[in-house]
Amino acid sequence: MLTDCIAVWDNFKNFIGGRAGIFHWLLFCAAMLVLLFSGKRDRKLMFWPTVLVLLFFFNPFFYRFVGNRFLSGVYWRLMWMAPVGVITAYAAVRAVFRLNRSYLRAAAGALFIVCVIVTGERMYQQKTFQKAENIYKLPQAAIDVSDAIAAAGVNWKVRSVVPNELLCYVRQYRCDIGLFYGRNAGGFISDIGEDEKRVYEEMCKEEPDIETVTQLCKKNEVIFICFNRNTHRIPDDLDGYGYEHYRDVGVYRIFIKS
Amino acid sequence: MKYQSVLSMFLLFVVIPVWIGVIWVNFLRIKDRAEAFFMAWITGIVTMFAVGQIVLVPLIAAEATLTLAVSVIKMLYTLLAVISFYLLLEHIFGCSLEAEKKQARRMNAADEKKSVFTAVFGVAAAVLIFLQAFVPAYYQHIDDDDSRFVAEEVSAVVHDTMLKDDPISDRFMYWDMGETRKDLASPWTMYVAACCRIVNLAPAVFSHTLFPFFMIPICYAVFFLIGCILFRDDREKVFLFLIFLSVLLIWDYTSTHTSGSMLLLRIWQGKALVAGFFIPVLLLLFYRILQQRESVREMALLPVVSFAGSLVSGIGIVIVPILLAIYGLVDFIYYRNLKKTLAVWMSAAPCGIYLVYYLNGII
Repeated sequence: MLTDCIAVWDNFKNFIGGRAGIFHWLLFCAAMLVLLFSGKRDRKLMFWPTVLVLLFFFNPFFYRFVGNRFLSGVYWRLMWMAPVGVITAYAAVRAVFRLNRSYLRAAAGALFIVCVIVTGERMYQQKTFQKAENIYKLPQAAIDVSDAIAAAGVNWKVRSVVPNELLCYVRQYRCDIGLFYGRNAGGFISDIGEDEKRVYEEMCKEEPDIETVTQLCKKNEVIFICFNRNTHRIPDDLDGYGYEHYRDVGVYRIFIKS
Repeated sequence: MKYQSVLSMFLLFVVIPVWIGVIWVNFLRIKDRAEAFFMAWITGIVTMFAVGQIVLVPLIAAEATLTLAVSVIKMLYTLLAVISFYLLLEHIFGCSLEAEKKQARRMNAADEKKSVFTAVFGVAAAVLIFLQAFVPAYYQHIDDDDSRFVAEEVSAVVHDTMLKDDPISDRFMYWDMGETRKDLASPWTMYVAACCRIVNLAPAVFSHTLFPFFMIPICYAVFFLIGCILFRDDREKVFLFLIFLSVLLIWDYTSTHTSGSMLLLRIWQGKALVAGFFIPVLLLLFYRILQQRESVREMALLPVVSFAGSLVSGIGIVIVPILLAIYGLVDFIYYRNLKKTLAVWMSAAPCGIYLVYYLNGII
């Protein structure tokens, strides 16, 4: 039981983002108190349903039998059901309009906004939004490498190995380039095979074992292997390994099966 | 980007939903013009998503092509638009001129009550909402979850298949294999692929640029209607509510999991639509339903939301029934109307069917 309680709490912390989200939750708790004392209608529409949602979420039995089994790793998503923003904003408007004079209302409204801004974390910042590199809003390198591979005209569906930083984007742009492994290397989407895992591990290294990579790629009919010349230390050609230099695209060097 | 595609997006996400939503506005007997417009927009979108779910699940299971799915979806949308047009004509010719004049006088009287603050708050709220829609449309936010979603969409559009290609290797696979197995019950990616076909856009462009620009204002339309209920149509308070809510959501990046992050960072993903759109839509409907002791017309929308919520994500299949259960219980505690409560709970039936498959798929 204690383990389930801790797991639920961890999910909650994961959802609010630890200490960063505490203040907004305190505002929400204050808003819930306002609702509790602000009349039957508010209690009926917002207070009690939200209390039930929270009881649902913070219920260790529900977590043990449903959450842990069916929502493992994503149990925090149930917290979306608590209308935190709606209730906080509603209570704030109610509080502002309790004041009679308009200058007091303006001051109270401004105070609320300043509180939210100072204690919250802004959505729009350098790490969340960047200038668009192209119309697809994908890294330009992924598009250039994909176009270069497709331009070879080898086959309708070619198998490729690309550096880790391009794994998630190649197939958002073109579907005629199949990847030997993709985001599944990080434990997502589907299981990864033994050969894929070994190649991925080598591609994570600064100096990949070319012998291992090329052997496994040949075995699995991988046509293209792409390395990042800035992060990988690789020989200039792989002729002795069954792959030849195909093209350089920026910092990326692409080899094609001989 | 072609202007033709932008115009097609406007038609697909504004004109057609509003047109189809007129059926619901007529059914719900909403009189206020602004409320009627936004309700039509929201219910229209929900109905379109529900149609997508009803069409796509059997067609994917039958291994049909995307082209066939697009044709069926287009036919059903056309049928709904024709019904709506008929109702509109009936309304225009069935309503007496005197009644129209009376209503217009009432509306004008209500308009006169609006203060200068209403206008100021209204403009501020509109600017804030526009900025929130503009940022993801203009700037670039990269999310690795798209490596599955957008890849599936690209495969569907190019190969004219539905969930038959592995999103990583592009090798042929059956829809009942791997992680994509659960996508059969919630084929949002195939719905997006169908939309991409209709508006002639690449899935990455559709998802990362134009969809957020249209969807974020739709989400705020839901919040506007929630505000109208909570503040009994006092527009000054409603607009201030929207301003406060916008500020709360913009400064809600305390983690990537919050509702604000879902709504403003990656609304094109199905799970984000559950957090940013479907849960507020259910709140809106419950707020309308909970105000009446007897069964109300809004309850007819609940099964539609159930279907539509199932389309977007597996978490929609789970959350919609939980919310229906909770609000049904609250309604029963207040009104002791078992018939009404059972009707609310029964609305979860579509989700229940998909839930059985979904849980079977992830165990």
